[in-house]
Amino acid sequence: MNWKGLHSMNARTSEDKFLFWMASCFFAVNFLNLIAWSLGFHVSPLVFGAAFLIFVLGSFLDLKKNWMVLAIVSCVIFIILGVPLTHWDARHIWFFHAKRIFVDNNLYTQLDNYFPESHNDYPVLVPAIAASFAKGLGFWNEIFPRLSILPVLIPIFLVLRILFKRHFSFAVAVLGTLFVSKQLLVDGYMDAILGLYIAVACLLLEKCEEKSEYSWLIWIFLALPMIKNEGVLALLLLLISFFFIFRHRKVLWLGPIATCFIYYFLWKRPVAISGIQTTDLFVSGILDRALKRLSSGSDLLEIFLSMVKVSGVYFVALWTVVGLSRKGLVPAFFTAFYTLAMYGVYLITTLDLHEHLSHSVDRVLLPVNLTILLTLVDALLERESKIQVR
Amino acid sequence: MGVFLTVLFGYFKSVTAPTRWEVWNSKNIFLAFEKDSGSEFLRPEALLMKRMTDKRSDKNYRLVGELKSNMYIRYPATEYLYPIRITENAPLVFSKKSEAVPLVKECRLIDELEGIALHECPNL
Repeated sequence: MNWKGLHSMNARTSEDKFLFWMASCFFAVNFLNLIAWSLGFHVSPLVFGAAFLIFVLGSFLDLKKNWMVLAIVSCVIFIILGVPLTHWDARHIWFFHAKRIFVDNNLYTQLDNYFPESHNDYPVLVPAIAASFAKGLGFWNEIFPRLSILPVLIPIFLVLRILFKRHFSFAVAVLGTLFVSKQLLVDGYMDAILGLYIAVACLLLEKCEEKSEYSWLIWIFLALPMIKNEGVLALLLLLISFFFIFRHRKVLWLGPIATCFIYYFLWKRPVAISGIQTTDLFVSGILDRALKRLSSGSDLLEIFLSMVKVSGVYFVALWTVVGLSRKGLVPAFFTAFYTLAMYGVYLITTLDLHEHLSHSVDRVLLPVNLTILLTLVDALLERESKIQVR
Repeated sequence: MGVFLTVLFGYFKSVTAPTRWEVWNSKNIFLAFEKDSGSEFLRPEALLMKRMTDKRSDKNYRLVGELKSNMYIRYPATEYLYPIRITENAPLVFSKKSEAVPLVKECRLIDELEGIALHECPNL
């Protein structure tokens, strides 16, 4: 791992430059919208629309390279607009928060803890975009605001398009992502979006050789904890990897450290001041619950088997590749510790363990599966065409 | 290209396959920019309550009986009615008309719609 090309923005082809600027533009607009809402206004949906239009028109100029991205984006739009918002958490958590931001003109309106079942501590990157979209319409409805998923997904697909130089590996990566995520990518849940951001961050850390990749990492680090609470854990693990990789270039630590402060002041501190508990996991009796489950062989086995069922094959494939090629160490580190942390979460859950596992383990381990999927595609199909820094 | 588009179409079909909860429909694409589009998939109780609250300027209501205890009614009602709030001490009370809820026996019926009743209980 090295850092040869801080100077090498012009190393990319002009097509890559277009994709780089478009991805950065979407990352920036998404996050600026959040900042704007925190200050009492919002980014006009016309700005999102203009960015989308430039992306489409620019993509047509190099259709040979970008047609797959356009096809996926079109597919996502058709799916989202063809179905009203019906899924449980999407309606009653994420897009309820969006509706509240829209109605009350306030990013922090949910911190009054009205309807606590909607988990008012959950972060609001996507809900804030949905609220901006509803502002553009002038009213709330059950279909259009879900399109807010699109500006969050587009930059990730663009980054993947640049990272995977070969058409075949990009096709396998994105189609694999769609089929692993299933409908979770488009139904208004945040798990697959978070998983995709984490997977791309791991990939960037593996390949980090250019200034552009550093800037994407910073955008992703900013977004992760604002997509979903698990993003904080992911950020922590990715930061450990980052600090280790760049242990001799401490000046590069400033960006990631700044992202932690921004998250703290933008969301974590207001939530703490409002007195809302971050999660019902950390209510009293954690130790008792953990000890009770640790002493129960059947509970330990049930958690283990549920996780193996969801991610076992992925782990076998990943460790085989890591063992044979010594590549994919960042994803291996991340997936191992993230899975361990999730195991710990199930140990202290206040819910019935069987029920909790049955309705959440596939969603919770989606970041692990997506990270491994993209790592395998990179290791097996893309290695020889690694980004060149000239 | 053909293989990619075929697989992508396979994803589209699998995600939009009819389920108990939703049916993908191309008509929704044209309705996506209209007010209240998509609400037909909501619980009918939530829609009825919305029709009643739209007639009034009050901002706080209370649910009792099954409307409160059934999360498949309470959750959609809470989020669909917003900015109307469902609170525990509001004098306006929604109940199912068929239910004999002790609380509403002392109250005055002020509206009803297809099995949902709205009572005024000023002494609560």
